[in-house]
Amino acid sequence: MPAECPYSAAVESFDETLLAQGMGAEIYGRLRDHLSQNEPPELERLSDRGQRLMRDLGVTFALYNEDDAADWILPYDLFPRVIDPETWKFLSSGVIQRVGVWNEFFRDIYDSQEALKNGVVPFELVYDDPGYQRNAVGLSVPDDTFVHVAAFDLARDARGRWVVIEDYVGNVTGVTYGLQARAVLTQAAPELLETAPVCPVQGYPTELLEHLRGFARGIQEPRIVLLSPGSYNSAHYEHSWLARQMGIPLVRGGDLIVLNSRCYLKTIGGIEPIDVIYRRLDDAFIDPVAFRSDSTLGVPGLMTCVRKGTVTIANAIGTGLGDNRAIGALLPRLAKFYNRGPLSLPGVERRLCFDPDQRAMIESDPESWVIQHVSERSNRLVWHPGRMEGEERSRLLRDLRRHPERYVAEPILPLTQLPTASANLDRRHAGLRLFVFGGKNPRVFPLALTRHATEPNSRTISSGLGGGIRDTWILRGDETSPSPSPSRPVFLTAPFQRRLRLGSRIADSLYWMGRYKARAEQATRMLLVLRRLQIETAGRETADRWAPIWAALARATGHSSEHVALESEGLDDPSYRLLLATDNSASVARCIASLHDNSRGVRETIPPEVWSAVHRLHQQCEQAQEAMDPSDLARLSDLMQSLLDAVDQLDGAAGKNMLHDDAWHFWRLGQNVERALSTTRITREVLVKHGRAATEHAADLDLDALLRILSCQYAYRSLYQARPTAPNVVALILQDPALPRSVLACLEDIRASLATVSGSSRHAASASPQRSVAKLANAVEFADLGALFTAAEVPVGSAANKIAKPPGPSGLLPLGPWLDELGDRLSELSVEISDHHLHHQAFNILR
Amino acid sequence: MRFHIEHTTEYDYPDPASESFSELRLRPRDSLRQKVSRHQTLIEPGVLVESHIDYFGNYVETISIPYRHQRLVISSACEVETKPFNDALAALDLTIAEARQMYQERRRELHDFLRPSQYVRLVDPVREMASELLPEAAPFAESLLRLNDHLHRTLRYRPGATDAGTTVEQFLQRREGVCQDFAHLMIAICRAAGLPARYVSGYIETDAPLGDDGRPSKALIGAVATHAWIEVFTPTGYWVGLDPTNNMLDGERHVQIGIGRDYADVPPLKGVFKGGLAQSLSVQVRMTREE
Repeated sequence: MPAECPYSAAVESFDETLLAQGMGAEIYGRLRDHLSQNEPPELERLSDRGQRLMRDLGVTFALYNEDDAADWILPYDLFPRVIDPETWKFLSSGVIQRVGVWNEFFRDIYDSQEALKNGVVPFELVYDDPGYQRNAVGLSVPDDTFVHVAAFDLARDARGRWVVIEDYVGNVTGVTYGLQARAVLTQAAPELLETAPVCPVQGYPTELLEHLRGFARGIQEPRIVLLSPGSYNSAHYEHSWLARQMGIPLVRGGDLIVLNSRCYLKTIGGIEPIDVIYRRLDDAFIDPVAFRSDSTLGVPGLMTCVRKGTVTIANAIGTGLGDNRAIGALLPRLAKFYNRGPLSLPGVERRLCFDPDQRAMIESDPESWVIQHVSERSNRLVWHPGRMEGEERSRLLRDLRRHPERYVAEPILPLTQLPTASANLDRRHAGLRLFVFGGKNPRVFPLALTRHATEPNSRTISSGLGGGIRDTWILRGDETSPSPSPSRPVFLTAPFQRRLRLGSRIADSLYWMGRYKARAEQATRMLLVLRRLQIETAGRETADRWAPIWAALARATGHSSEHVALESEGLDDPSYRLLLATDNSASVARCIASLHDNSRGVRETIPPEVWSAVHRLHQQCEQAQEAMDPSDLARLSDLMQSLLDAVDQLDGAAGKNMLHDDAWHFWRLGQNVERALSTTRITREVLVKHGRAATEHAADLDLDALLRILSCQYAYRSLYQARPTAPNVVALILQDPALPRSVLACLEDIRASLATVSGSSRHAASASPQRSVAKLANAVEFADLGALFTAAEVPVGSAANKIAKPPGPSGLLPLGPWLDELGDRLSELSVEISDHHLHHQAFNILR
Repeated sequence: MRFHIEHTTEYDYPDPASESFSELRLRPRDSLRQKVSRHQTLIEPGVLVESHIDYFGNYVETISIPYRHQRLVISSACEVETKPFNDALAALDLTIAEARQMYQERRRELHDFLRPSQYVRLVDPVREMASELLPEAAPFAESLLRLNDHLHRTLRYRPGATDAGTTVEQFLQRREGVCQDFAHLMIAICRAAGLPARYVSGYIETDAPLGDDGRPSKALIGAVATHAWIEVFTPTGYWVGLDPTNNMLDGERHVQIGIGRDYADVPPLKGVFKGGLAQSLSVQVRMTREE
């Protein structure tokens, strides 16, 4: 039996590669050979590649210990864990049995409570647990299924037998890391995977989706969403990745609304009913009216939908009770009580401190035990009396005596270890997690998560405490060869008809991603061009020649004047402040940080390539902020160029990988609104402030700068083949439909996007942003530019299209007020788009 | 006695509220001692009212108002008939220790009402009062009546002295509060002594009818809105009502809305909305006896 190891006596540690038998031993042997063949530098290179892939894929976890919850890239090791077919079979049937008992327990507890009436579980354990939801008692759930998805952590006991050390039947995490561990290995060291018949894992998200669709109370094309606590949760990466892979919206409480016992998703086209909620939000937070009223993460009234059975929550409300380790310890008794025992895969021999005899055992020999909180799964609520000093330890033991119901104790298990892909194949402690689908036909998917400690002799494998991950190979035997599920269609199916429209919050984030990206790009280009102009004209122009233009451009990009104030001694170049200064809220770095924040919240909606590009851009800025010498202008220029390159890469990734759907259009809308605005403002600041009284030579320089800042000097030359003149430049910048940055081109793009996103909207009739953009485009296209350069009182444009504003004080060109007005109307358009599609109060459909 | 009760709550939001969702516990429960013949809840703005029965057997209504509104009016009207019933304490001749012994068989069902709860913390001063006022050897029925009297005498009823979040400890320090505080403290003392006790939310007839001599009999104290008192479980299997605010057993002039471990289980109104924080609230309860 593979479950029993050859050692009979208790040992300090187990090397899994030595415990393995048969096929497992053979594969481990090959792996050792293969990896030890590599010279250390080669091995290091491979490992680096793995780690880089982890970063590019963004496999992150928010560390508990870090105050600024910044994303932590999990350490990766190339040496996989191998599970032979026989062991897999044994472990699978063990966890399947366990999930069945748990489900039966919840079905009983939220109904007639026979297990409590018969004393199988002390009723105090349940009634005093905050995870017991009185609100859920008596409610029926589809298929009597409470545990749709479960996970189990496994280890070996002193005799080498597999035991379950942790049951996860409420909120289950970690599956994504298991999947990504394979993705990284496939890319970093594909040759390793060729050495063994490994079960593929990439089908898991689809399998999970199909599994959840089975609980939609018979609805043919159910609408499913993943409800998450938001981007500041440590598992956000997992939530967003999974939602994306499953092709379902990732939502937060605020994205959903309950009306008349039905739950709806707010989308850009109105509200849409939801049938299944795959939730990663704990019971206590899921409905602030039924549960904790201080929760801002939940959906008010969701319990009324559960009560009426209009929505399926997976896992069901009340399964948080399964976090109680004391109940977990009684699982063998429950299995017997529900006629499902004995358990083939036992749990660790956990001691319940409220039992005086069991407590006495712990008190007499505290060093042999690990003490844990009974239900809190936090890493901080685990104590090792053997490693504690006198006072600290007596405090723990005193509290154990005072509140025994709060604690359970477990024997210290041997360290089971796996080699690392290092020169000596050093061993590290490793843990194993299996994932199970619960329900009428519970089953496992050949996927597991192996986490490992990064230090020798450490037991810390938790991702929250710096543990690493590696791939887990479940080997194909004769029986585990892929068996297609019988219901799987083999013919081409029609695309999902009831596709959900884009969620309003996501559209909002994409819109702002577009705006921040365009803003950062424009400002960086502007800085770079000015820097180059300064160098080019160094011999001819005085150093302060460019100061006014710096100031003007800073204003045009939203900076306060202090950031470009001239120092008393000579000229201080403002590049660093405009680009990177942390105290400048309009700096390029801040724009990129905002772009990053917005992307992070909608990571599931954007392709990983786009996320990677945003992430790289952000990292470049952060690294530069740490390392850059503000006076090193040459390096600053290099940075600007590389930021612009990174922006181009982002544009490329977006263009190539994003579906041209609603999300795409909001990303485009944001960019075009921002571009139109910045083009308008920059033109105004450069031409109107400095064009008036300048000498011909100076004006020429300004026009040249403007063309270069808006990257249209070649367009100008090819069109006019002459020296730039202000009216020609303005005509090009405002009205040329072929120039991507021209105001008209931006407006036409906005018009097209709005037409697409409003297409099937219920509010199309009152499509005010569409009307506004059409009017604005006409006003720009047919503007009489000649008149704007005449210092006289001129009516601007025809009556219908005019942007009405009286000409400024005498002597000033009408161009200035005209451009100001254009800027104001573009800002108003932005507000209209938001009000209309993003913050809608559009519930009139239900009134 | 037959009562007609009208209970109106009005919220005004200077900044419009939206996406509001509320749970109402306003319909009196049916029990051996009272029967509800009619009940209606009206909401303005008009929305659908849905209902269910909660874990403790209370009648709950839910409403959702998604769109912007500046005013929310909830009016509940009902006809209730209360019936006379025997004094369940009268025939009980046993000590507190004996009573506790007799609860053993029903430990599971009574567990919720023996444990501390959100508003009923069994803090040290409470435990001291329990051992002083409900000692093990003392007679069960008499001690409870004495406790009722003691609380009534030593603590002052003063509307506005406390709020919905006041704890038992704070009440003991301030020594003045409202019916909810009296109820929570008495429940805490009972539970600390091992006697199952629960919270009752309801109405009380405050304006007494004229007595035989043509003068009004002594008016009872109830909150302007709703009243609260407690029930203790007797070893003979009854929940007996004690009203420490008025130093009396509950009677025909008490109308129960619902029961729970404490106020948190039976607030008349509980809800959330989006919008500005500023809001003004007015509550009106009219309870008239019908001959």
